[in-house]
Amino acid sequence: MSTPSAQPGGAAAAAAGAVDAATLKPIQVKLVLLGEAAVGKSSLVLRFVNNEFQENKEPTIGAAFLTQKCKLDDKIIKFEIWDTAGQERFHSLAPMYYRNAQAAVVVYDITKPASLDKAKSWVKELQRQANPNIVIALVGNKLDLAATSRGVPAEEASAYAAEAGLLCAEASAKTGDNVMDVFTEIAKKIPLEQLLAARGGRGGASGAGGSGAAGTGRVDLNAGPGGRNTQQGPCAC
Amino acid sequence: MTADKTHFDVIVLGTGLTESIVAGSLARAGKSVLHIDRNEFYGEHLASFDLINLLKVTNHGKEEDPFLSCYDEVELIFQSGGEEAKEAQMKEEVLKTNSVEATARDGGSDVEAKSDRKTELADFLRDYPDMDAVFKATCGIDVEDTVLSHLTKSTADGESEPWMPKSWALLELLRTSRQYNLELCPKLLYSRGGLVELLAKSGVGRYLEFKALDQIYLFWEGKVEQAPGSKEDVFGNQTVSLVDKRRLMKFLTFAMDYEENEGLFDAFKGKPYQSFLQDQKLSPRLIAFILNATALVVERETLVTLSTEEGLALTQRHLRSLGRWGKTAFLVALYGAGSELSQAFCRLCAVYGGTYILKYPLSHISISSESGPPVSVAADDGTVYTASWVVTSSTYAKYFDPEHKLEAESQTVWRGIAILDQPLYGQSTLNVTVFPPESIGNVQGVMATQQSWDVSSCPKTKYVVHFQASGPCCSREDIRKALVALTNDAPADAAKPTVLLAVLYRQTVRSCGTTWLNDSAVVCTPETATPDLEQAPTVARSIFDRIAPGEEFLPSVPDQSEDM
Repeated sequence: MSTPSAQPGGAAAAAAGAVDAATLKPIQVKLVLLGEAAVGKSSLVLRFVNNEFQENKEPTIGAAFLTQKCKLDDKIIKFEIWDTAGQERFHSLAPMYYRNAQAAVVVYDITKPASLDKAKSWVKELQRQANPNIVIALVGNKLDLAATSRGVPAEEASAYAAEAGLLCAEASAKTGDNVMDVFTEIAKKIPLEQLLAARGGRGGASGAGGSGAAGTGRVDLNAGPGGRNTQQGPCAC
Repeated sequence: MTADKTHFDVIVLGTGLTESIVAGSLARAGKSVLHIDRNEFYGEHLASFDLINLLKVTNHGKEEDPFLSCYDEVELIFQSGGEEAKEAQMKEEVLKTNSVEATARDGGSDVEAKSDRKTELADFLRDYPDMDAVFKATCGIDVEDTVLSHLTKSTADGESEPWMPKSWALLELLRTSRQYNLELCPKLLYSRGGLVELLAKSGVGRYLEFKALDQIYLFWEGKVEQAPGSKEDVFGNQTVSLVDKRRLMKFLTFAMDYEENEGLFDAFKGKPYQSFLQDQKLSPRLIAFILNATALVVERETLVTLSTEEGLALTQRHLRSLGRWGKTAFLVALYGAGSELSQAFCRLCAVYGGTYILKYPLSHISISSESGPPVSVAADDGTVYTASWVVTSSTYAKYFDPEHKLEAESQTVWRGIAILDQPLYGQSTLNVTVFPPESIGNVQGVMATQQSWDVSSCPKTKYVVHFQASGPCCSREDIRKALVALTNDAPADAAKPTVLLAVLYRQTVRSCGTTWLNDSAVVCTPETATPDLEQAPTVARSIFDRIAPGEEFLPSVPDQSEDM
């Protein structure tokens, strides 16, 4: 079995030419970010998606969602990553946010113990609101500050994660340490076969809370005449 | 809990669709927006709930709450003859029969099973204290006296409590609560309507999922018939005479582009549409088809007063939406149209920097400051936010208008939500049945919209039908009659679906149109009685243009997912 690896979309797409096209239709996975404000949720995603980091990044503005492909064995997973857009600050996230999410990254700041408590309450919220099979990763960000100002012992977070059945890692959006691995581990844990079977080839996803609409007959507003074509075309990447 | 920032360009109160489009469009145009709702859910009167929360909102018992008090006169129908209750009763009987033998043999195991059920019921009621009223109304049990006291009583005599089978059946239904998405006010989207175009153009549609409505039915002379949705349907219809077919086709072709043939209806301008249709020599049945199932006018007064121009515009809107997706002119949104659309525009607003605070009660709003920012809003927690503009739903009107000087009417809609064990018409899962006034002894016309698992309204084995009747003198009776006409009233009639649970309620919304109170404050009213949401984008646009003149309204969002 080959080692799974997350790579920028370009590399994944380049590799695609060699293998059977049918298996390489990207499997879309909705991933939601959660965590206290300013723990670096968006920075982690920007590192993962664009491999970049901005010091003193403004609070999230202007991204409906970001996407990144991730190659796993003979499959390509296309993460559709939803940022909270600040709606978490006053606990005003809409049910739409959690709906159909197959994965969640709950972020805390390893220099701020209170942010881990907040992360735990987000995990509870996910267990209450989201798809029961959601894969949750608890990620301690700002690993680059571990030597100087660590406030949360790594063991504390991992013990909690083990107990709650979560993936767990520490990472640094600033240096890029461990960021790819977090997403790769998530990709490995998502029941892809089940997902594909449930969708029957449809782009959408199964519902949260056990419901979930039938895969047939879904209307794509943008695919109609004059609309944006959302089919996976031969993209520039 | 305060935002570090307390001054905004615009404060928006209420997360109904109009307010949400305004919030999203203004944030998109670079305005700073604070969006507040007193409720913990999005959508106000268009919200969507799981089963338990729907029952909670409709059985609230809080007359002073400005939102909840819009919902009253609730009636719950939980038929003991329902599939679940029957099953539960059967199980109970088997249990009883076995119990005699069991007690004779080894004694006790059945008693344990029964007391387990009671424990489960008691546990559930402890977790959901709001459901007390629901159990009381449907099963006639007083939770405190009956369930909890019986728990402590010994049941070793093997006697089963009469309320137990029904309560257990209700509990089983409530346990599947999360599989339901039930709308307070269900809505359809015209496939080529302004709202769908806006969703496609702005990119907000990416957050949403839709399915096409399968069919529209008309209740005519004692039976339900399919309303033709296309030329093929008209010609294929065996029950319409050839002459009538020709007349209908001629009329529909004209109505599609009626403005171009002004001469044909000039004499009827300002006169009733009904008389214009009669003048076209259309039969009463075809007139009913055009008025009730195409223009979707069902209020008896409107049927009479609707002018020819208005009627033609409604007919044209319907005809132009045909043939885009599916067999009808309409789309149904998954998880509930009003609720999802509101959330999607709110997300757009948040993505462009808008601040969201839900479950946030206000104590005071001022819109006439002598100096400083024109608008200030004080929250119950003491924080004061200021802004240059305030856009508010009519459920906040009491703050601006304590003496009810604002011209306002009450807009009353009677509604019913029924959970059924079978679909109404075989294969069709998403459909509308229109009952014209007096077709089933009803005063006002009734629209019944069936939804299913296809749009995540309910579990796969169930169906949901939303009933609505509006207009003067609409009543619970109108809803009841339509419910009876469509479902299994007599137990022998197994061909019709059985009502497992139905909630009938009255929705009364303060209606003041769209009113600018001064240069900085505007109140808008949700569309509760119409079957669609076409008014919301138009109203939102007019508010946007006044607050952000010259700016583009909801330009397309750059799609980051395309070029990664």
